[in-house]
Amino acid sequence: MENQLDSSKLIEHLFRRESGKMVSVISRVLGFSDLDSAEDIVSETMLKATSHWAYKGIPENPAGWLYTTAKNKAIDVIRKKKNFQNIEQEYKESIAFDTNQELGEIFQDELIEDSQLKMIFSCCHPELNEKEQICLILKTLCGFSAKEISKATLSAVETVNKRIFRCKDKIRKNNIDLVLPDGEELQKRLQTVIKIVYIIFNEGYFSDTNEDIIRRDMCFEAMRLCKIITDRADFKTNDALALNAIMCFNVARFDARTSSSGNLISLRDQDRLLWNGELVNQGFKNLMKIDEGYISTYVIEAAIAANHISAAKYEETNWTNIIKLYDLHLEYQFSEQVILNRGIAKIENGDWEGGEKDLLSINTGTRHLEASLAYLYIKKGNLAKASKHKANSLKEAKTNSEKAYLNNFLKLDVLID
Amino acid sequence: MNEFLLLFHGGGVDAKSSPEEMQENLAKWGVWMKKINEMGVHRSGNPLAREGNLLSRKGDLQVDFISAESKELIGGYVIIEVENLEKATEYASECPVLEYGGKVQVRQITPVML
Repeated sequence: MENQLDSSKLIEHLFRRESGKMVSVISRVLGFSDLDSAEDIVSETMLKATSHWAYKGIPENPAGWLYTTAKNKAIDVIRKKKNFQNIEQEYKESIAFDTNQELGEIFQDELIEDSQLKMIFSCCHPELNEKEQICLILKTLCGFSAKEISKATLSAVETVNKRIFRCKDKIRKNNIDLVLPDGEELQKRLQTVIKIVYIIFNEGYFSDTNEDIIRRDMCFEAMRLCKIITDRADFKTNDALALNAIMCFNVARFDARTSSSGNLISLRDQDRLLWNGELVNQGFKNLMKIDEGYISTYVIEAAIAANHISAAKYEETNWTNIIKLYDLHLEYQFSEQVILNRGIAKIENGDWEGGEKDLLSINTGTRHLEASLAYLYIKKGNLAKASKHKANSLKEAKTNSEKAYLNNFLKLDVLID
Repeated sequence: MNEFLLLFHGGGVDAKSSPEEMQENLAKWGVWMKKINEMGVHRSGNPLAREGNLLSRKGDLQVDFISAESKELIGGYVIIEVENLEKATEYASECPVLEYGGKVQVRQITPVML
């Protein structure tokens, strides 16, 4: 056997990542209206690779092999479409290349990145609703299957499939293309894109399921998508840079966040030596690139995360700064979550009265609020109130590991991460 | 030493599998293939196309199209050279096809000595 047999030499998630890239490029060639063909081509390419490489070993350049195979399949599809050219005029426009010559190097790095960028933006077209946008991105750009998406987002598989089907239908009906919008529409669309990427990140970061592997993958995918935006866009992407920073600072703590037994460790108890310095640096690099004087809720959030990540020890956290940032956030956008976080920050800063006021001003009861109140009353020594709120938070806790965490945290005066 | 044909029925990934699942499947094949190569018993092997024809005659010739939808379609084969059926079966028992609900048929190739 000439090729390598050791398929552990394949980089992690190669298939999934390349799948996303190829769907983007081929969609560009065949047209966004024919996502089905693009997905079929890529799926067949992967199947061929799976069986071929299983018997013959991994080729020297696995990605190159995939690209060549996919390109040839795409050419076949285009040729078949050309046969119908006289009958089906609508296909003419989607065929951008004359396949009497070669398709050309459609899988060059530049084109791949550019196609993915256009794909991200088109998947966030306003005709599609939020949940549809998320499913479409996860399926086409991130290479997750409907089953995997369903596990990660806690939606039924049928629901995910329906959403994707509706997306493709809307794309066709509205003639949505793989092009970036212009001017004002572009910035508006960028806001949607960033919002969606952040939702995907949070699905992974705060997942209520125990599917640990998929959780992390969602976070990394969100980071990868956001980086494509900040790397490739030739327009302003301050909020995307801020989101990059937020995600870097959060993911930097991944290894310190869970114990060997799979339980969550609070920010206070995390071994900061386990924080990923490389990711922290990346976070700051992104912050530096933001236009001076530009402020938005994303930037504020990034600044708060930066404050946390800069503290060598929990006790050295600059709570005063953080509280000021929460104040600023509330000026830009009201949010009960922010008031909750500010309340906790005030408690940690020694201002129990201020903290209590914030917490009690919140109308929407959540388990986080209950846990925070319990934490406050433990500090104040009001055991009756503390027990009541602790019981409330445990009632709402969704997983066993969360229950274990709450029990531990509310016993030892530790702050929720 | 004798040659044995290993036929793999079903038990693979298909169009509905995710890229991640396919890579996982490939990784498992890699482990098994590596072993039978390192042990020096692998002689040849190939995947088979996912579709083909099945012929029979009931009076007239019948040609049925078969594909991955057909139950337990043979996905590929490997030929190994080992002492006996028992040894061949031992190697076959670690084939990843079995983890995916498929079957392995182990048959000695009996050459005719002229």
